[in-house]
Amino acid sequence: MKDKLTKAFKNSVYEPNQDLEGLIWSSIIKRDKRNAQFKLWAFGLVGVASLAGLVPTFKILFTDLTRSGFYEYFSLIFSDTGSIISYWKELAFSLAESLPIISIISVLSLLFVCFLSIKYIMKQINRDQLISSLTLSI
Amino acid sequence: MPQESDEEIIILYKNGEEEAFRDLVNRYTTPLYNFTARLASKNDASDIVQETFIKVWKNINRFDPKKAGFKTWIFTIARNTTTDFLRKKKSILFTDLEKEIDEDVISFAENIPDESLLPDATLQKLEDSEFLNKTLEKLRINYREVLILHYQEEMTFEEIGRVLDKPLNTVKSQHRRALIELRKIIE
Repeated sequence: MKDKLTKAFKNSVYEPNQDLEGLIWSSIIKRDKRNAQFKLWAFGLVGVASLAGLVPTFKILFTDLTRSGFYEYFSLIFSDTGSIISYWKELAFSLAESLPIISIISVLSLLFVCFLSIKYIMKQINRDQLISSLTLSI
Repeated sequence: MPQESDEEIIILYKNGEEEAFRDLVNRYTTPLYNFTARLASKNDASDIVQETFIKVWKNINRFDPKKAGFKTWIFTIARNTTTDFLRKKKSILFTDLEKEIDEDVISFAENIPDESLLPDATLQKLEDSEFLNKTLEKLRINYREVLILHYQEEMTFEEIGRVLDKPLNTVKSQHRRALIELRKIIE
């Protein structure tokens, strides 16, 4: 019975419209392209925003470095080598203490976001080109 | 050259070969079209199949071959898409899906061996494709899906259970009841 029913089901198969496969594929490509373009714009905006944010953050970092006396401690390295050898531990601690940690973290984070968005922008451009080549092949 | 398995195609696609997905579209368009055309209608089948493939494409990263085969997974998505479509169209009453045929028939059916559920004369009638399709249309949707998956897609009862999210014994009993109802419709 099973074989006969299977045969009957197989013989009564409906044939879909010949264009259906092409339609499905082109609608997937369209969505893929839309997604790629959306991501390109989104990463582009994030990249530009992080780049714009870098300017004031760098300014704040330089101000903090001046205020904390970091430059003074740092210049000691090049001026008095003898004292540096004797008191290197104290100098190292003073240098570390004078580092404006929050400003440094902010600058590094923004740089990281900026490079990451450049990487994703490049990836999306390649993907966009790939999708365009697939669109041409439909 | 041996044909690549669905899982191999998915790996290729995930590795950046976009065209690999097209092989899946080519492979499953006709089976999904038949499944959905028989559950819904031929007019709506193309839209449902298209929506199914878009869902598959969107969720392909969630596919886990350890849980179920690709065929089971794609038919589960197709079945859910069809159900949603029919629900939106309100073309079936979902309380009807749960209703079963009367208990006397069921207890009688449990004692008949599977092979005897459809006599030769009935089977012969079903060889006419137009007759089979019209008879299936009259069959309850939950029985129809079990028969299509078992006889058209040659899925095991375990696989059907995964597609329909039902226990194995429920699928087996629905299969028997589907055959009894099919026989009743034909006779």
